[in-house]
Amino acid sequence: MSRLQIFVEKLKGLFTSRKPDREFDEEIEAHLKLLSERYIRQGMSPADAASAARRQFGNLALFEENRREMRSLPSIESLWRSVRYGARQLRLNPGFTAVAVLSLALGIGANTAVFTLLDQLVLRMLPVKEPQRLVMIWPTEPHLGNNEGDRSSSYPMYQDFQRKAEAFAFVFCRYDRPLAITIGNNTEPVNSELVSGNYFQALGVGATLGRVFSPETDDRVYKGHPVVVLSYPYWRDRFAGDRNIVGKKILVNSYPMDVVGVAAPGFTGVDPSSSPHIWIPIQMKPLMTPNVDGLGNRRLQMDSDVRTSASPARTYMSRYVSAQLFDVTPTDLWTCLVAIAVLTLVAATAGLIPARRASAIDPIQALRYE
Amino acid sequence: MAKGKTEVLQGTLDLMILKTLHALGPMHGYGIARRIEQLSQEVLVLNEGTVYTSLVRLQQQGSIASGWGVSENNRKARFYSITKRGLKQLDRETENWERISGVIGRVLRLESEE
Repeated sequence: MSRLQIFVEKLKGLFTSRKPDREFDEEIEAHLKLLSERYIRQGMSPADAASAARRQFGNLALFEENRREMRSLPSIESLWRSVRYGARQLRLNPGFTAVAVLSLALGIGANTAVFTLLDQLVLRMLPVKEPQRLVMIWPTEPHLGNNEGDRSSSYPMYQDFQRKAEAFAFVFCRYDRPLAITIGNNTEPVNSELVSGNYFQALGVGATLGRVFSPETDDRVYKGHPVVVLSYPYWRDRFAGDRNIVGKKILVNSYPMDVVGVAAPGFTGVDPSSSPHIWIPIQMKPLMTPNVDGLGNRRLQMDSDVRTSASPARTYMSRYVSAQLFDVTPTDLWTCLVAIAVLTLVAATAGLIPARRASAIDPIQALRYE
Repeated sequence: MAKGKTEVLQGTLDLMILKTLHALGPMHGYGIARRIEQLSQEVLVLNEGTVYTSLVRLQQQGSIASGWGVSENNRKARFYSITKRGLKQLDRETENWERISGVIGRVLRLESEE
């Protein structure tokens, strides 16, 4: 007599027909008849016998109720009644229903949006080799000569770091820039990233087609590396995955360059907020940004890959997000808790209004609706 | 309630029904009620409806099975019979009952000695 078996029996009772009920009624009917016949044999009048039989049998209504409860799951049945009652109330108050539904929808939507953002920026790792080792480097001294925010550095600074920062396996730099690309007669805007020659090597990203940049071939001559690496999605969508793309010439900001390769699928840069379509060697920067040319300006972002780190290295991602979100660290527990609390409060309030209204209904009135 | 009669103790009705079915074979509800009434020699008050409550419960537990048949006076009736599981339950509960009643008996004797 396992509990599960009883539960299954009750579930069956909930969904099967009422035939067993009728049979039971007949059974009890027969029982009562037998009892009263017995009393008649003992000398009672038929009317007295019938009532004596019923007395002997006990409280029929109570017994019926017991039996129903045992046979089925009363909690489910009453739940169903509650659902129907709720649905009726909602239908009777369309205004409140609309408000409640809308606020719930808004709450769910906002929660989903916030979580999606958090997921993309904080929880998910970059699709590169050992993303947890990636850090961002910036000086904390007064930002003299700095003209691209307080996290930027110049190429000479980058070179210094690369030479002297022995704790890092790689130090690379990058510079985001929208550029114009001309293919045939069409010119269109693209997101580009100007990167140091060791960028792909440091991130452990290979090529789908052709090659990616290397420090030996693509980071030596000032203005001397007119080569482009395409991102995989851009190559697939814009060039229809053309496998003969390597070696073709395209114009970038009207400057002719060779396509040398396509990056590995899934890699779209280290900045989730802007995915570059193309990569260009940082040495080409003066040609790509003629108005703010030179590598001496502090416009680059430096990143590095810690190999033998002595200091605690926070991940690049959380640095990035904290910069974006008003200097609030997103992994900060309190910020997270407060955000969740506020959202929950909003959702609860949205649910409270219809609930209060429903509970304010006069029971008599409620019965009348039935 | 008539004087000198006792209400059926909670949970003992199941045991009585199982024993009745075990001793006398398949029976219908009315027959079970009569049998218990007869055996109790009018000491117990039995609302016969509770017999059916017990029967439903025992059937859900799988301790008894039921089927339709024809009663002695040619009426269609549902006959209940004890199952294997019911026999096991009967053994277990009989033992349990004897242990408890033994303990209570000992306790009561102890009091009367003082």
